[in-house]
Amino acid sequence: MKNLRITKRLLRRRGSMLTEGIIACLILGVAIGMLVPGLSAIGRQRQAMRFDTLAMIELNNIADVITKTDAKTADVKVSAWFAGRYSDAVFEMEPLTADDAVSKDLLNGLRLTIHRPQAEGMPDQKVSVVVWHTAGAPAP
Amino acid sequence: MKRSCFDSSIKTSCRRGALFHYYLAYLTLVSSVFLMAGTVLHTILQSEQTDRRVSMFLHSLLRCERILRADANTATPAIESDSAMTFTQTDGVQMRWSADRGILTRTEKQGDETLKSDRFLFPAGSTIEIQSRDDGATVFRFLEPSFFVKYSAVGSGALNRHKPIDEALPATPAAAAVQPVTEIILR
Repeated sequence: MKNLRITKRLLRRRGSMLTEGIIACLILGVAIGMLVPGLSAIGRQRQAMRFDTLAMIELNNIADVITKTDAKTADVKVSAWFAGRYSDAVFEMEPLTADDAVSKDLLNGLRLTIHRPQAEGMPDQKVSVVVWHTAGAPAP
Repeated sequence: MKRSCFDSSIKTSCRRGALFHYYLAYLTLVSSVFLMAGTVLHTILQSEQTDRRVSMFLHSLLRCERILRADANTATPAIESDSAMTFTQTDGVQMRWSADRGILTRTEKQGDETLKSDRFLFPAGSTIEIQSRDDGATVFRFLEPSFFVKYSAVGSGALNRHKPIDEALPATPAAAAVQPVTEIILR
């Protein structure tokens, strides 16, 4: 009788060890399940930040073309390196409207925008700069 | 007569069998837990490292772009080689930009006197080229480190400065993806 009690206790203890292991695994699984989307969100955020910076550099390149050369605004387009990296990005150019400008003197400005539509979990992104022609230059 | 595990004659062997099974199951569970924990830690550390590299690249790129455009607006450019160029202002001040592996250095001089010096550090494996285009534009090309190549130092390009070129900048295999390029175009 005494032997039976001891063996049952031993078996119960071994069983609980396995249950503890399974519970620990489940908890870790849940933790990892929460961590993986967080990590992929960090990766997406990094990509978005990279796009913001590179789009700003490309817009400054385009702004240089508009303000320092005689190129017609209709001919202006994004550089090959940027088009190669972000083939889905769209470049837009529009004159400033009266609603945008702080004063009437600024009405000959152009807004340059690079727009990247939402895709593969990445949010919709838009980067813009406003360019003004130098004094005496014709309005676009 | 039916024999049970609790019979004193076979008690010892039954207990050993049960222990062995539980031990195996426990080992499997513990190893899978360690595997998962190891994978997660590795991913987190790798992500942190990538983050540091990307932010270093973008930060240096933005900073040098701003200063480069300011120099180009106030001075006349002259390209010396594919890794060096000079902007000369009307008052004689010269801004020399030189690229060496992952470092871009800007030195401001008037005559023999150095007025200012600035360094832009890019991640290990980065390459910087200075080119002149047919339309008169000066182009600074920044090639990012290849994803498929393991570089000798993961930190900034400065750590690779004194190493042999084939160790600091191993060639990217042709089968691997092309190194991403960023261009700052000055007019």
